[in-house]
Amino acid sequence: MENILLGLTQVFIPMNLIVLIGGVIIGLIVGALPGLNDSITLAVLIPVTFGMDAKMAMCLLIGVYVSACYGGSIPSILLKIPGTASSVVTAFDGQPMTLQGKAGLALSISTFSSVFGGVFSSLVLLLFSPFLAEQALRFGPPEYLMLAIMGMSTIIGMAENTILKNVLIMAFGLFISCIGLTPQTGYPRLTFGVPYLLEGIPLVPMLIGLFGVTSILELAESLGGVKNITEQIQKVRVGMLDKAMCKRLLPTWLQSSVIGSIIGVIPGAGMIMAIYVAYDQARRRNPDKKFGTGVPEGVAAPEAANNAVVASSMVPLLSLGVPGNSTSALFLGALMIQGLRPGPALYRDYPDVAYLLVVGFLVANIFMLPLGLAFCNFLAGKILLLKRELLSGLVLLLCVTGAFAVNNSIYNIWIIIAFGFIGYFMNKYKLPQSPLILAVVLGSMMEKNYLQSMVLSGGSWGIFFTRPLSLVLLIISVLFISLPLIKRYRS
Amino acid sequence: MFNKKVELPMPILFILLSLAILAYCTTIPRKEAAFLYIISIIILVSSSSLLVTTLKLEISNVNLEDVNLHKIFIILAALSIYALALSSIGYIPCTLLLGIFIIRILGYKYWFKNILFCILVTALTFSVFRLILGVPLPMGLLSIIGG
Repeated sequence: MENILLGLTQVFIPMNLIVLIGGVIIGLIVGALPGLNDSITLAVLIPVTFGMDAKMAMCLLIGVYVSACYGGSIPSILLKIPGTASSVVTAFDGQPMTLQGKAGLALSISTFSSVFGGVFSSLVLLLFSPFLAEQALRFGPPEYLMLAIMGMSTIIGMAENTILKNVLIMAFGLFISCIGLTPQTGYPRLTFGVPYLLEGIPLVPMLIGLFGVTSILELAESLGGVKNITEQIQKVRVGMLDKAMCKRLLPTWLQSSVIGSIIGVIPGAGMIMAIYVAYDQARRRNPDKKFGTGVPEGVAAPEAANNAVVASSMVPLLSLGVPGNSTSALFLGALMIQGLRPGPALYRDYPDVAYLLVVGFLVANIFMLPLGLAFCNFLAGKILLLKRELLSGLVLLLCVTGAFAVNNSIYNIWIIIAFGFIGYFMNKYKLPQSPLILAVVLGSMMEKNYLQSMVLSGGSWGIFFTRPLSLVLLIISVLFISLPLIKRYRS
Repeated sequence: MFNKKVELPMPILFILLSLAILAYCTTIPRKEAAFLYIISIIILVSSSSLLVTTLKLEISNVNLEDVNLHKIFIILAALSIYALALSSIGYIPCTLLLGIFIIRILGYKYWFKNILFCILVTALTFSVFRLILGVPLPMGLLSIIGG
């Protein structure tokens, strides 16, 4: 309780609160713009946070992450153009509601559902993360190694038809993490005499390339040119939901929030899975309603689920130091730039930052309600008409400037060019990016803890089986990979 | 239809990468190469399996027919020139030119608005990063002019 109050006092420092609200507004804008999303915005904004105090920087990023996902539902409902990938399913029932003249109601449902899902998962983060972090303090090198393996095995297990591609990209990510000085003896590996590479590939420029530059390349590739929104945006009036509608949607909100929170906690599972599962479950729960024709539950389910993923995806990062998805990997980068390392020690050594992060998600979600309603009523229509060419130019200039600013090095610009191309190549060949990012983040942790385990055990692998926690994590990893495979084999 | 030219380069590229890593491992101390050995074998096995499954495909997964690859390479080339010229020419002229060029290449036709927008963005990023955050953005030509 004391720590929660500490988090609250940090969030409510006037400057932090202003930055948090600013972040929510930025998130709403970029979420509503097709082609931009939370990851691109966070990647571009991280360098801007250098000069900021760590807590203020986190407030900005939390605000963006929380609201970008909701912002994506606005063009999805009004124009059937998802602002972000996480709002694809919202269009199934949102767009028919707009065609029936109920766009205002659909947007109100989307706003309330997003806030409900967000607050629910913030509470999960608040209650679950510090407890898990406390347990993780007992971890030694073998447990950390198994934890990293578990993070990777969940991604492989979730891959369904793309297991080979996931394994390949994960190994590629591990290869990238090997560049630089080795953890044991400091031997320069894969540096080819370039001093810049001694510290390895920097995470933030890599993510700026993967998200920012790749998005520009994808926009440029179309032979027909960039497609802007030119159609008339329906004027809508968005307001509070009445009691009857809230009562009707409450079971859907609860169900979808639980689904989103569980999926969010699992590293690599992600929002897309959450929205489809939540929509499917809502459809099963309401067999009498014809989903896809403008059913309010069809908007409520994916919107509650995707926002529930947001805060819960921070649980593994804050408590164990393992990012839950690519966006939370950006938080890892932002924290590292501030000289902080997420994981169990964060709660012990920097409780003010750790609890600000936890409470910040809750507060940002609450602020999203009035800001989201106001945004839909006054700004959304105008922002949707912004030219994508100009916005992309802005993103690119921020990418190159931000990459340079990470450590004042022109080499970073080469990194964003290289990873922009790698990201584009991967998207073309439908190779997933999450395993790459997770493997790069976890690679050095894996190698370091493997070597330390070997030193502890005198070179015996038995250490992984004789320590109870390590064994449990190993069994969970095996289950994560084998269960989906067995299920697939049976079906 | 299955397009070999488009589908096969990806797994082949990864096979070549794994072989290159294996070759590299022989040039460094064995202790330092252990982790890389494991990684290269995983890449080799998974990319070879992917090559086999790709060869069995009847329909292509990758579609490059509607893709303007020229533009992609032009943008990458423009970024490379930017990286090469940044320290000698300086942040302001390089960024301004890059912005105008990229917006134009994306298909925006209004030159005046394009130039005005890029001037504003360059001034804004310069103010935020150089003047507020103290990032030493290269001044290039401007530092010579300013003495």
